[in-house]
Amino acid sequence: MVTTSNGSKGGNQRGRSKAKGTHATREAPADVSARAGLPPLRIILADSEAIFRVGMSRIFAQWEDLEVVAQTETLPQTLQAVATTAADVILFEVGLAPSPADAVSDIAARALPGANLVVVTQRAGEQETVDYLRRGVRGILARAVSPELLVRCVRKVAAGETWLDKQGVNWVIEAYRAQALQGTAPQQQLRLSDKEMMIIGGVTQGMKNKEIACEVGTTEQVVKNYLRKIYDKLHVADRLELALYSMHHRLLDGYSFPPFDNSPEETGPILEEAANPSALVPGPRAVPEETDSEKHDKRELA
Amino acid sequence: MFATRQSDLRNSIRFPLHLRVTLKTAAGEYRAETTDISAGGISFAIDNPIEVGSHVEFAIEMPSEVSGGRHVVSVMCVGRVVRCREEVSGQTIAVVIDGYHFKRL
Repeated sequence: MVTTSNGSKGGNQRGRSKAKGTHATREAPADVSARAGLPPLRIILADSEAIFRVGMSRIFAQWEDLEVVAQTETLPQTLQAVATTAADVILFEVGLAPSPADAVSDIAARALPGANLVVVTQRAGEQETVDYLRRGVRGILARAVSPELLVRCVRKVAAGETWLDKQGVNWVIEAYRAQALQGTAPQQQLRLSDKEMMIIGGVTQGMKNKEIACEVGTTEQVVKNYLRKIYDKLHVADRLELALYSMHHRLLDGYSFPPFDNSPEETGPILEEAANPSALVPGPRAVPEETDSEKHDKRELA
Repeated sequence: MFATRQSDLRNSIRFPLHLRVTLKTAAGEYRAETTDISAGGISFAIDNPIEVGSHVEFAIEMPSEVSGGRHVVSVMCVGRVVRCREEVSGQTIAVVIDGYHFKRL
């Protein structure tokens, strides 16, 4: 269930505690005294286990600068809550989703402006840590965290800082260093075959996989496989990043293309289609002939 | 979300490409040039502010000489304004890309 501070099941533990007099609220410590006079930090608790939600709520209820505004126990509830409830911090327990990384992206995409996502997990390895951060997570918190650190994490993340343990910081720095090297020195090590170059050319010219397959003389599936290989080689995530990479590094300069049939498939002013928002959202009407691979490329539309 | 900060995370590689962009908002249409661009978003400068959080539609123009083809290709995008900062050159706007598709012109 989704419970909010305004709902009958009341997520405002702080208010309830005060009313019952079971907890005395504590003033924020000196390092957050700058928030004096500001409204409390709003927290959404998304955790699959009620005992953890209750426990964390009680911890936050002790502080007058923290307020739980919603609690959820499933992913759909969480997606709904983050889209409708303004929050400063979202505490998302990864056990709540079969694919936590995808869930993180969904939450990041749907959350209202100003929210900062913190992943709560038993343990995050190197790959997960870097992946979460890339998908917009502001902090990673161990499930066994102490109450003091939990509160500190929320305040820091709400203040715009990132919350990671030392090992996590090192992993992220290494990942960004590697990414920077890839971004600045693209052609020193990679070798792209003629067919790969043709496919990149097709992508930068706005062709769909099926069209590229026709031009190259192969099947759509083979083009998909090539694209995956190209993405891996260039460390790009999708068609747009591939096109930008290609433009920035002038990958196609001097490359002689076969005579692609590059006649426009659509005409009209640039924003003619954009004038109709439904044409830009996912669905059969937007791009009826697109393939699974292209749908994946448009991950933002999914 | 993350509206004010996601772009700072630099999830995707940022390219200092100057591409023409046509932006459509509730307040009107703007033309600008990107100061940098990634698969996750763009930034550019215009004269007027745009409300942070507002949804926008925009077209990024990829000139044929760099896309390797004979025709201009546009990337049709939908996104959200995540930053609007007043600077000497005008308003520096950052927009995240929520969805896109290529369109040949």
